[in-house]
Amino acid sequence: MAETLLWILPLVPTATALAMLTTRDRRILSAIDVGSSAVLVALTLALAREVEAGGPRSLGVLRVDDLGLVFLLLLVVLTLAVSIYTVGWLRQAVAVGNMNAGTLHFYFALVHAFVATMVVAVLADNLGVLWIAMEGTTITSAVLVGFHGHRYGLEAAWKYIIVTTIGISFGLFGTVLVYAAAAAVQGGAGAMSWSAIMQVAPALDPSIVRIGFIFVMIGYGTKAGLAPMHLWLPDAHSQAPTPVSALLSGVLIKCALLGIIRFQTIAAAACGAAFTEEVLLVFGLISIVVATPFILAQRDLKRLLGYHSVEHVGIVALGLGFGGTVGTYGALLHVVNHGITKALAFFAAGTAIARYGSRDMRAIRGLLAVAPIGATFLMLAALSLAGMPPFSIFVSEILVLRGGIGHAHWVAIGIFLAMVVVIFAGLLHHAGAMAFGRPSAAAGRESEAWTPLLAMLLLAAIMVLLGISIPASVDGLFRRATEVVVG
Amino acid sequence: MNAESVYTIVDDLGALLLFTMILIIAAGQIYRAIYAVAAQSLLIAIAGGVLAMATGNVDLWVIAGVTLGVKAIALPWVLLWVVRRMNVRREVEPVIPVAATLALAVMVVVMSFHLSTSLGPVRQAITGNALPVGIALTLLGVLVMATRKTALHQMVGLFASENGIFFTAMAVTQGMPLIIEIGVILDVILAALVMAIMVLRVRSTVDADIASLDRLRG
Amino acid sequence: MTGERPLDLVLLEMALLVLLGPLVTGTIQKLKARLQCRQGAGVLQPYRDLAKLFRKGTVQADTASGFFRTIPVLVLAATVAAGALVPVVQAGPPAIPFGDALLLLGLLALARFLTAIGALDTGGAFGGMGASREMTIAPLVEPVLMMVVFSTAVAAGTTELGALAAHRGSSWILDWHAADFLGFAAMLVLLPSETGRIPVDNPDTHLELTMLHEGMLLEHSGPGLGCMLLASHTRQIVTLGLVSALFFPVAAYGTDVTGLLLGAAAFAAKILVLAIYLALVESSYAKLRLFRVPQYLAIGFVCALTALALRIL
Repeated sequence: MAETLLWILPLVPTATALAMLTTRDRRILSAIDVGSSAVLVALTLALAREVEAGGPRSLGVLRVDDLGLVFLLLLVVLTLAVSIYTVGWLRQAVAVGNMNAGTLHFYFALVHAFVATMVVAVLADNLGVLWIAMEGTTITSAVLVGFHGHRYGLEAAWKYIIVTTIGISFGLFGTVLVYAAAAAVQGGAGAMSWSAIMQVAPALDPSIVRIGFIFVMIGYGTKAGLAPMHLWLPDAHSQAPTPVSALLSGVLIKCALLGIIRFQTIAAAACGAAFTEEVLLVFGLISIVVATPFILAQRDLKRLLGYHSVEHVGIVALGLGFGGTVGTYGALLHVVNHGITKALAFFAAGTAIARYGSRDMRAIRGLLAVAPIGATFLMLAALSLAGMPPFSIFVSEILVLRGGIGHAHWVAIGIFLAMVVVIFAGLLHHAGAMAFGRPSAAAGRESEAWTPLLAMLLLAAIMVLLGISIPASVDGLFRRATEVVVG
Repeated sequence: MNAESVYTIVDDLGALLLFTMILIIAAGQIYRAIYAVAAQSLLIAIAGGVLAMATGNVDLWVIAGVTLGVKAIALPWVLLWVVRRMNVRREVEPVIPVAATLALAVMVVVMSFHLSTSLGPVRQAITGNALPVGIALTLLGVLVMATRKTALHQMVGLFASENGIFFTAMAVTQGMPLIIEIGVILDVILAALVMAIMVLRVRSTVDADIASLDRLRG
Repeated sequence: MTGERPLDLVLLEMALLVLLGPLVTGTIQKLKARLQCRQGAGVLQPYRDLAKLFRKGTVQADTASGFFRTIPVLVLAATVAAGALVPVVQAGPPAIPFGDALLLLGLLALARFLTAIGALDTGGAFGGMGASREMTIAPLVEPVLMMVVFSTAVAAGTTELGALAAHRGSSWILDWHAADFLGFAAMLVLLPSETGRIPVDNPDTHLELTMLHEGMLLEHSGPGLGCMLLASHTRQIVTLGLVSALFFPVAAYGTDVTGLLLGAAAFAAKILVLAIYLALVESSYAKLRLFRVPQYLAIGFVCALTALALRIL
């Protein structure tokens, strides 16, 4: 049963992508979109139950374990939310001419192809397949980033495809090196399979794995948006259509993190955990420090959220770098929390931007007066992103900190805390200015569309729930996933 | 063919690969760079053939053939087609002078060799100088992409970079699994097509080279 | 089968180089003409030019010093001396060791220096310009030549050309080390520059904007110009001989007459191949603008340095 699910899961979005090409009616397209995403969620939940009962399953080059399941759940939940959001967003975008009604089927097909590549990336056991799927996400999402077709969109798309493709070639090189090390130990067939490599990992040649891990770190780190390889991220996030921004920030960069974690486990076994932790720590700290000034000085709302993703990916890397059960648990939890919250933030920001017709935060004023519900969600997302209790990000940041204290990384903790406080102030300043005050003349007065609000409600509910108390089943999943990483 | 002569041939091909890479870096006009990268892919295909003969690995024959067809013929053809469509013959000054880029290239090459000699036992797992040459090609491809402000040059740099990885992957004792290599090549083709379409689209809408757009910053 | 080369053989080889130098130039000119669909002058034309020049009288600028008259002789002497260091028909060190590849490069550099001094001596504008350009290019070429020599010398453990050629034995291209490919590539890049040809220099023109080497010869006339031209011919064949000694095996056929003839024939074939290469390059490329030349030569530099790195690392 679980094995069947493994190949059905990537097949669903692929088939959906093809089905999208057969029609041009917006309503039908949206219906297929939401329906397919719902099916994906249902299948994933079924798979999660199977795995909880029977442990990891594998089928050919695909494999699901608890670690992959965490990312898969995040992926499908966000896909569903994005689908629901897209219904209302698209109606408005087509009305004002942001989206061309004639090319909608391509848009939907690409979104589902993008989702399909991400599903494969999450489920891949074979490191080569992982790489192919990651490159596939680049190709599909690059077209989506430039989908608006104006010069800024295309500029962002070009920067995105070039920077991430360079990066990901490094990832391939790292994969080849790890494969070379594994092939020398166990020979041919299984040497690319992560689960097979893990069994012989302590016997691998540490020097070659070390170089390989650094290549992978740079490669998949580019894709994950770790500084200083993050150059594509703010551009792509700000220029992409809002639902795509949410997918990029919420899931795609997390998939790249999963790639890093897979190699981290191999490298930690082959050359000792101290090495991988140090590398992750350095990249994490650089990301947090680099992102801060850009967040403070930002005027473009979606760029702000983009730089904010750099910071949070940095926090995840920091958590992994602190290591130990607590730090890793916190990092994995942060992956999910940030994905959910950032998607919510993009949704709320997208509707606000559509209402004011500008991404400039100085133009967006008095949102609470014209769109009270949307403004509330925007404030909630901002508070959560800034790390306020009782929202979920507060919990995972505290856990990451706790992990750091456990391993006495005082300098890193100091830098981390200082930056988080600065960003807290900056973010609340930006969000407060947008929500309160007198609405500017440019503000549209139309009533709020209900599907985007529904999507936001779904995400906000998860966000608050995970912040207040983590359900036992979810907690169990995270604990087992942490075991996969820490061993 | 005995192991020793395979070793030598792979080494020699590595040297020729470095030479084509130097030509790509030094090329002023884009079509010369395209010819150089095509020659480079041809050399990779030859390396694949030689290793296939030596190891008796049928997969490597397939990979060599696909490399020849796709990277040495099809992709350069696509690039030349784009060049004709865009009608660019003009030389574009790089970001930093070519001579300086070449100096950097020397440093990269020396560093790669130094790095892989410091590794020691790795050399058993990967034939000959394939590791340092592969690292050097990958980094030099990135160097080309970083110092050139035209889209086509950046694409050439990308292909050169990927050639480096392929060279190393072929020389890994067992060879990479066939299905993975094919998937990688497919990805490369798709990426190239998407890039070519973007380049032409920007050319037709704003009449600029996509790589020279620089409004997004901060 | 690579004994020492007796002194008389060395002298014979040197004479051969000087005698055949103009022929190589003539051949290249002829090949170029045919490639450009022209009839072209016969391959012996350079000999006729030289014969004519040696019959003429000398006209000299008033501003030139007495030293100017001796320049052509000194240049020719230095170049011919360099020719003595190149193994032609047989590999192996000469019986009386009198120099190696570095001395050869030094002698060529000396000839170049003297030429430039002579050009400056008359105070003419073109001469000065040619000299300054030549001296801009030379420092870019000479170190690279030296690196190529070193990259092969590291393997052989000697810089003596005859011994180098002997060390390489009669192995063909299949036995080349990876560094040899890069070193040879560097040589191919540098050859047009060393022989004063397109894309670095243009031997056929006397336009002030384009010429390097020719600019320095403008003030010479009669037998003096003849010596200078003969020196350029010799320099060209010496450079080609250096390349073939470094990279193409110098066959050792024995010291009897047939062996020597075979060796000479092999040498001629090698020089012909390089001459064809030069003619092809000259026909298919345009001359580079002067400030592009360093960029072109940098290709050779990088190749040579990489070759050296490959040898040492």
